[in-house]
Amino acid sequence: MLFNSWSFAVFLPLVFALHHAGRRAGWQVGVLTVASFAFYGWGSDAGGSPHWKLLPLLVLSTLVNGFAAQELLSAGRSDRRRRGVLGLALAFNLGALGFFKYAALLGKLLLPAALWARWGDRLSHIPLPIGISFYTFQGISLVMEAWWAGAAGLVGLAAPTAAGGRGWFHAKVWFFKSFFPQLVAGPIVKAGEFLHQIGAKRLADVDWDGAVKKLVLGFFLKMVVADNLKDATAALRFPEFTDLPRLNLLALLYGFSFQILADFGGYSLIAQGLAKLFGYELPLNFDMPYLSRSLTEFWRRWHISLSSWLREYLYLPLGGNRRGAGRTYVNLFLVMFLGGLWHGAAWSYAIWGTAHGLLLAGERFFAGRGRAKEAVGWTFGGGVRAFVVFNAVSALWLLFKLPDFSHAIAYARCLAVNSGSPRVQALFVIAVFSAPVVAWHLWSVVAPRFARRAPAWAGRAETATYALMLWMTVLNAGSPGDFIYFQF
Amino acid sequence: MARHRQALVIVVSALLGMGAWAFVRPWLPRAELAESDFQANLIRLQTWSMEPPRSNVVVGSSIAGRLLPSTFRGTALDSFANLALDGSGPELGIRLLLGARTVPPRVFVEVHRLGKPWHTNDTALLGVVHETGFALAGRLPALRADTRPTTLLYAWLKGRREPAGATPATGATPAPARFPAADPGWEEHFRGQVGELRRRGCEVVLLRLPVGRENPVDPAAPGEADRLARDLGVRLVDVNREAAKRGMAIGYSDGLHLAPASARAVGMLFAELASRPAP
Repeated sequence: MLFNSWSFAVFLPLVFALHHAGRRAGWQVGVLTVASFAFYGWGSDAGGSPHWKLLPLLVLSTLVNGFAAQELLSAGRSDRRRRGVLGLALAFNLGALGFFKYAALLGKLLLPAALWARWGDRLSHIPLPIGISFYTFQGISLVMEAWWAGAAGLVGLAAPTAAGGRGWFHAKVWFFKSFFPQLVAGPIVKAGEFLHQIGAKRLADVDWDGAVKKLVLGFFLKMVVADNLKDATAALRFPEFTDLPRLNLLALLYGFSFQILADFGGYSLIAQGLAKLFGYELPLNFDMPYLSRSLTEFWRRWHISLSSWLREYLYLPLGGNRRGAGRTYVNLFLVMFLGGLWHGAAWSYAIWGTAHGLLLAGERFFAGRGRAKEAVGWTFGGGVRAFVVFNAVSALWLLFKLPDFSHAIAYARCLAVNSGSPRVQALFVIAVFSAPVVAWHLWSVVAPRFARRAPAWAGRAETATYALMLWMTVLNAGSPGDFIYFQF
Repeated sequence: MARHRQALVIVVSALLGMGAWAFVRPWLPRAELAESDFQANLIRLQTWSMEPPRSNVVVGSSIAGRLLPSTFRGTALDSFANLALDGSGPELGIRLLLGARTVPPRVFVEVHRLGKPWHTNDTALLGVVHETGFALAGRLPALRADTRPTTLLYAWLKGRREPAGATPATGATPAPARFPAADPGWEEHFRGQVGELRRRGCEVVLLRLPVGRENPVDPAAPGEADRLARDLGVRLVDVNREAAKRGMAIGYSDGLHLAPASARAVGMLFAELASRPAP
C-alpha cells in the first residue's frame, strides 16, 4: 500500500481509531501488527503479482530473528551456542537478502558459463520482495543488539522467563519488525531505538503539531515536488536524452538530485508523522543534506538511518578508525562499496558507493580529520565547499538514474557535445519544483536567527508555510508514482 | 498533554484557502497548455469527460495535441475537444470514445501515429480516467488540472513569450527520429473501430497535419493517407498538403511538433478545410 494512495486514506483513520479504541498495550500492539501485515500484503506490483505472496518471507524473517533474539537474551546459554545462534541468524538474513537481491549478480560472477546459460534467466527473474533490504537490516540489528546485551537484556526487551512473557516478547518483536510507517522504505530502525517505546499509548498524548507538520511537509515533498519533478526527469532515460541540449541535460541531473531527496526525504517524514500519531518516534533520516560542506558531513545528513546502521554494525566491528590510517581507508572504502551494493545488484550502484568511498577517503587524507568534521556557522568558504559537495553528489546520482553504466557514459558524451536551444518546458518544471527544496534548506539556516529575533512572527510564518504546503499538495500534486526507494 | 493548536490552524487555514480557490475559480483563466505531458493530457481528458459534449473531437498523438480548443472559437469547429494525447496515439482516443455512453457527431483521426503499438503509457493514461482522483475532480472543479496554480503560471508565461499574433518561427534543426515500428495488424483493427464509430452515428475523418519529421512507416507518408481514406471510404482533411500549396511558413518547437504560432495558423486552416463540404 502506498502512503499517497486512496486505499491508505481509508486504512489510516481506521487503524488510528482501532488503535486508540483500546487502552492496553497488548491491544494496541496487536492492532498495529495486524494492520502492518495488511499494509504490506495489500495491492500488487507493476506486473500484477499480488503483494500478499511476499508475506511468508516477512513472517519467516520475523520468526527467525525473534527466536534468535530470545535465545541470545536468555540466561545460561553457552558461548558456543550463542555464537552458533548468531551465525545462523546472520546467515539467514544475509542469505535471504543475497538470494532475492543478488542471485543474478552472484550467479553471473560465480557460476560456470554452462550453468549460467541454464539458470541465468531464472536467477534474473527472481522477484524482489518489497522492503526486504529494510526489514532484513532491522532483523540484523535485533540479533546483533541481543548478542551484545546477552542475559542483561535489551531496554524494552527482556528474555521470557520460565514464569512466562514469551507471548509479549514475540509480540514486541513482530511489531518492531513490521510497524507499517517504516516497513517498506525505512527509516531503518535499530532495536535499541524502538523497543523501549513499545507500550500503552494515550490519545491525549499524541503530538498533533509534530505529526501534522511532518505529514504536511512529507506529502508536499513527495506529491508536489518529487512527483512533478518525476514528470520532467523521466526524459533522463536512454536514448531519449541523447537529443537534448546541454542546459536541459544539466537541469535534468539537478532536477533528479532534488527529486530523489524530496521523494525519499518526503517518505521518511511521512513515516515519522504517522508513527507520531500512534505515539512512536522514528529516527531522523535526512537533515538538510545539500548543505553539507564535506562528504563526511553529507553522510551524516543523508539517509542517516542507513549510514548509522552501517557505522554501528559494519564500520565499527571492522575496527573503524582505531586500527591505523591504512585500515581506516580500507574500512571506509569497504563500507561505502557495500552501502552502494545495498541499493541494488548492479555494478553502477557499486561504482556509486565506491566513488563515495574514494571521495571520503580522499577528503580524510587531504583535509585531515579535524577539517572533515561538521563545520559550525556559515562562511564564504563553507558556501563554496557546500556547492562543490552538492555538485559531486548530484553528478554521482546519475548512476542511480541510469544504472546501465554505458548509458551514464552516453550522458557524459552528450553533455560535452550536444548543443541547440533549450527546451523551456522541462526547465520550467525543474526550476519551479526544485525551488521548494532549495528554500527548505536555506530556511533551515536563517530560521533559528529569525526565531530568536521575532519569535511570534517566526511562528506565524511557519504556520502559514505549512498551510500553503497543504494547499499546494491538494491543488498541485504531480502524477502519482511509486517511491524511488521501494526498488531498493 | 496533547499539542494541537498549530496543527489545527494549519489544517483550517489550508481548508479556507481551498475554499477561496474554489470560489474564485470561475473567474480564473483555464490553462490549455501545461508544464508536463501528464498534466496536458489530464486537461484534455478532463475537458472531454467533464464538460458538455463537443461535436468535433480529434484523437491522435502529441502532434495534434498542439491544436488548442481556443483556436477554434468562432470557426466551424467551435465545439471542439482534443483527445490527442502526448506520448500516445489515436488508438487510445478511439478506445475512450467507444467506451463512453455517447460518441460525438464527428471524430478527426490524426493519421501520424495510427499504427503505433499499444504501450504501457497508454495503459497508464487509460487508467487515469478510472482513478478516484479523476472522479473527484469531476465533482470538485477546483481540483482540475486546468487551474493548477503552476499550470496557470506556465500557461501565462508561455502566452507572454509567444503572443497570439506572433509570426510562425522557423523550426529547430530536426534531430534524428526514433519512431516505433507500426503494429502489423493495425489497419484491420482500425477498420473495425471505424465501423463501430459509424454504427453509433459518428462521422470519421482522417486528419493529416504538418509534422517536423515524417516517419516512413506512418500512414501519414505521402500517398498512404489518401489510400487509407479511399479504402475505408472516409474523408481525409490534408492540412499538410494545403499548407504546402499555400506556401505557409511552419515552425516546429523541437523539430517535430508545431510551434505555438504555427499550431494556431494550422488550426485555422484545419477549421477552414473541415468546414468545406465533403467532395
